Amino acid sequence: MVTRAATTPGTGKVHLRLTSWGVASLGLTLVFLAPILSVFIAAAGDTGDLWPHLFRTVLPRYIGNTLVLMAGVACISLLFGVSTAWLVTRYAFPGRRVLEWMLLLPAAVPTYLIAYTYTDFLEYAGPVQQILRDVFGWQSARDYWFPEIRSMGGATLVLGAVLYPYVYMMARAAFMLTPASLFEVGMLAKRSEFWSVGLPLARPAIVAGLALVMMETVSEFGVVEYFAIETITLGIFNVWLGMNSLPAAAKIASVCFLFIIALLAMEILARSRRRFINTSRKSASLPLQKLSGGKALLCLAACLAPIVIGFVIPVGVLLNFVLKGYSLEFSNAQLSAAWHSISLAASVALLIVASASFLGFVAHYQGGKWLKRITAVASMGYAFPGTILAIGVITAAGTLDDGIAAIMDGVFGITYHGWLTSGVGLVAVACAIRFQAIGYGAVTTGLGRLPPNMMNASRVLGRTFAGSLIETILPLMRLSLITGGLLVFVDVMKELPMTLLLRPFNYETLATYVYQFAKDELLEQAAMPALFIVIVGIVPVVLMNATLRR
Amino acid sequence: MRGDASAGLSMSGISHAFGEHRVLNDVSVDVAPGELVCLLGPSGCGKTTLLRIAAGLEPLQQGRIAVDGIPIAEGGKPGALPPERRGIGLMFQDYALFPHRNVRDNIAFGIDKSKGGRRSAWIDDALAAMGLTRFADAYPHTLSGGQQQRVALIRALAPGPNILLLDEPFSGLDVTRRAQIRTDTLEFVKKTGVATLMVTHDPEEAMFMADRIFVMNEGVVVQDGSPVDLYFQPASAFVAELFGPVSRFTGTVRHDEIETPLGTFSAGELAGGSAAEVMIRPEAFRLAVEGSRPQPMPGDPENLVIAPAPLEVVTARPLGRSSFVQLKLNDGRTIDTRVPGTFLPGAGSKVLVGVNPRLAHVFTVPSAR
Repeated sequence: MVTRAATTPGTGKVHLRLTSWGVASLGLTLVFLAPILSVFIAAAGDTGDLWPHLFRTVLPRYIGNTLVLMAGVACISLLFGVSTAWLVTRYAFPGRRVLEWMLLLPAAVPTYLIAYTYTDFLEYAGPVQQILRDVFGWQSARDYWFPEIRSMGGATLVLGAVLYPYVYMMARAAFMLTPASLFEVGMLAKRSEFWSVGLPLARPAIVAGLALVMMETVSEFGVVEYFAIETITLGIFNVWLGMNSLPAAAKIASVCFLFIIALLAMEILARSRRRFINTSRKSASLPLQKLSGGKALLCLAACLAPIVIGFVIPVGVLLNFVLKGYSLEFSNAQLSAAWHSISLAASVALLIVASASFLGFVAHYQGGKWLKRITAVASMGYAFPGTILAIGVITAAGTLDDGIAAIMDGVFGITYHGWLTSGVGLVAVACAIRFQAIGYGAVTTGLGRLPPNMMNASRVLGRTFAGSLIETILPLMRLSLITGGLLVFVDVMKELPMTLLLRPFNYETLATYVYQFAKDELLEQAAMPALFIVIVGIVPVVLMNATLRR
Repeated sequence: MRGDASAGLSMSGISHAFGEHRVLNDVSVDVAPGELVCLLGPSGCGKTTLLRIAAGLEPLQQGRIAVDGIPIAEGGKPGALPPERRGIGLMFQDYALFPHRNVRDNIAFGIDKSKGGRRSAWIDDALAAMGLTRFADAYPHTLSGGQQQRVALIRALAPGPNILLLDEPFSGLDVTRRAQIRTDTLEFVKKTGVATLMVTHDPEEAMFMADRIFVMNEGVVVQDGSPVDLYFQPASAFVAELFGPVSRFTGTVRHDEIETPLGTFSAGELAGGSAAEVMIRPEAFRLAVEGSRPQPMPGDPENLVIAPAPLEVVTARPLGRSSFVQLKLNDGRTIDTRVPGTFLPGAGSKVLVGVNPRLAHVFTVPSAR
């Protein structure tokens, strides 16, 4: 008996069932990847001489703007995120515990809303310039210079102000997990606690957070569109809708892929390095240093600044409108937009919880190394800007429609006009692909937290694989699935570009409703819906905070 | 070894690999109804994998498994029964109690609903027998480790399996409670008459529980037999050392004997001129103060092996029912002995040493690995 058992194939029924679950998994993964791959199909389409022209004229500008914006937002996120994370984890000062979670609040404000509200806040007729004129006695715009918010600098500031929580969260967790003993070693060696211990150890976590910030920046649509910053994403949008060329838009999208791949690599690398640090045994954290007087005030101010810029001001502007009585009539348009938002978000949440559970469970319990990797790829959509996914979804659906039409016509002689290329379903599918990672993440973390051998015990006690999933795994995973679904729900509520591009005529969600009014500089007319989006957005902040506290 | 036609569990010719790493190599184990068989070996020797293969949690790559003479899986062939249809109970090392079900629901989980009534009375009896009646509605996390262990045992037996697998059933328990729970478990399992295969790394536990022990090392069964067989007739140095500490002496076989600083031992059938080692258990030593002669204990053979010269005492400590005496050889090495009663010669004094040859095992030294 010296034959190599490793090459002996697995046996019979178990093996066969394994493959049928696995095949279903792979099929579903393909559905998730099809739109991303379709972008390349679309890019292969004929563009005439538009593409060479675009390539020479606007593309360098798109890329340049994107890079500048990414760098700027990264700087602001680092400044806000890392400094505040350090302060709240290392020092005791009045209000620290409240600030600790309030620093996450800006994440509740969608980027487009902060852009709209700041424009309103800082414009000539806005409160800031009015006060300045009153104080200094200036008569008109000619008497003084005031920075223009609708600029690259303005976009950098507002994006950084709502995206820094990614960095803050990662940095804070890393600082908290750093064993006190390491800080003590640093202190004994008379080295700076921050520069020589805290920061180097937290660096992989911070880089991972930064990668997410930059992905969001590349994907950003609402702000750059409103401020007319021509980034790649806006370029895709403009070429598609403005020049009416899907193939050219898809070609630009392919260029954007390079950015995404670089950022994905950066995130994955940082995450894999982070694992080494977090493996340290649970150790006591260093007692906080007590601050008083001027130093405490300084800390307070440093932590308050990002909150004020990223949350208090935008929400204040909206609240001010609402308190003045704007947009309180609850028109049919508002109610229908709210209904659309809620129904869309709920269906996408259900869709994602179902697909993520299926993929996660099969990969975890029946999958080998490869199935696990491939299913993880199904969550890649989070890295892609909504505009790109929209191109992909519409191309994939179009291909499918053409296929169906050909069959219908050829086999049954029925003329089919293609229903897949329009409709709310497309929006839902695009959202499901974009936000799949959130659901899948919740499922995998939940599975990781399950006590070991639950599935095995259930099988040995007489349940089939499917039976065990329903009777044992699902009830145990309930909380994780609800959390995942909730996070998806909120993200879909906030989603703007894909809904804009894919929605049927006259179909408004709260986000597109706000967008329409903001575009016409009538933000006050949509203040209540906007505020509602922010309030819903606070839910994940509370959840994030709860997981951080654990 | 019995064939497939007999009752109980029969696993034959099992080989298994994880990728390139071979964990089981042509292992055959059989358990008769009412019998308790232990798989004993160091961690990583493949014993848990064998258990998981029997339960169907790991696909069978090579070999065959039969329950009551009926094949349930054959390596390389389709038709292996999935775990849920094997009629094999398994108690996990971590118990794997469902946290969202109370004790009664955990136990009832595996019971076929069609025989619900009959088994419900069985659950009550089992809970009573294990002293768990008042915890029937409690959730697992509120129970102590010992209570969880008992619930897990009852749950594994509740469907009335023909075969019971126990994976390190006592490793999670406090040492002080282990003895009692071991007794309870043995009694409970024996009462059901199920064929039990248990995995453990603790030789004492295996000797206490098992009718037969299969000693495993690096994926193969190195020896199997009753606990007494294994203790008194270990087939290899590995088995001898597994069952307790030994003092080792190496030498060369001459005229069917091997010479050690403690005297000359019979080399049995080992070839002359080959390298051999003698392993002596601490309780094999019979000591006597200078001027008297070491006497055999009841059960010892008439002739002890007597060391040629008295040895110096390094230290002597009372251990209650026995005494620990450490001796120094001329070459400076020390040997640990354990003698019954209280025998505490002063440090530096000399004692005469005899050895019960039945507790001294002679093995060839493998020339090269």
